[in-house]
Amino acid sequence: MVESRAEPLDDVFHALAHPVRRAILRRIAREERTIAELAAPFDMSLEAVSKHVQVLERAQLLRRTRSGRAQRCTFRPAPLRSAAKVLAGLTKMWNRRLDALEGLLEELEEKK
Amino acid sequence: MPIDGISVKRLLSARRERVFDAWSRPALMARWFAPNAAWTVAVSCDFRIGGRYQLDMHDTEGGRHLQFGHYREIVPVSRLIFTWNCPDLAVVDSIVTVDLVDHGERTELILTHELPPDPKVRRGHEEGWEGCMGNLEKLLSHQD
Repeated sequence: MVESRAEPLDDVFHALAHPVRRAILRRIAREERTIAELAAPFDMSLEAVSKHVQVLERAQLLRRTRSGRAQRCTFRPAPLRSAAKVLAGLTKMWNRRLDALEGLLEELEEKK
Repeated sequence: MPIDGISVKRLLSARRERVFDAWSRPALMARWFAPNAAWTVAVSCDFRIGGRYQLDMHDTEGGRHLQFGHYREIVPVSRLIFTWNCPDLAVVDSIVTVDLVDHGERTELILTHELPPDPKVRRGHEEGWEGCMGNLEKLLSHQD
């Protein structure tokens, strides 16, 4: 189950670790937006929003495309899938181990 | 639940003391701590805060799998926090917390596994998490 390298995933989890960036993702998941549109609901400068956009871009969760003078931000879901896959893999691993732990505890109880 | 981690719960038919033993005594750990019953596992564990544990596992095809970490917090019979490294999965210094809740003859085990413990991400936690796997799944399903 080696489906991802550590570094890009660290970028993804880091990108998801901020409420503003999650809000940006939710909005671009519905439709692509310009930076100005993304900044509108927040009490933040364009520069501050641009920084968040850069973090999302580095994690490959967002792609910027130019149309005329405006830059549009598009959602890219693929890194979320690999993040979810790693988490699902960990859940499976712990569930298997806890099954084995349950078996051992039953065995120990019987011996008592 | 944090968006960068998982949580697993179990109600076990044993008292907390016994469950805690199974998590802290190498001889007992070796009997359940392999992800596959057919694998052999050698456990070494220096069970004290800062102490290191290591699971050296051999699969049936001759492959070797290593998992290791250090104990961060040990509260006998109720809580255990340790780091978890898994070169196979490229997971470095993630954090596992095991809580044991007393239910008399039974014990509720709550395990959370968070990754990565990047200080930037920790600060993100302090700013308040609103995300959860549900949000992640929602985002995913929107795009499918």
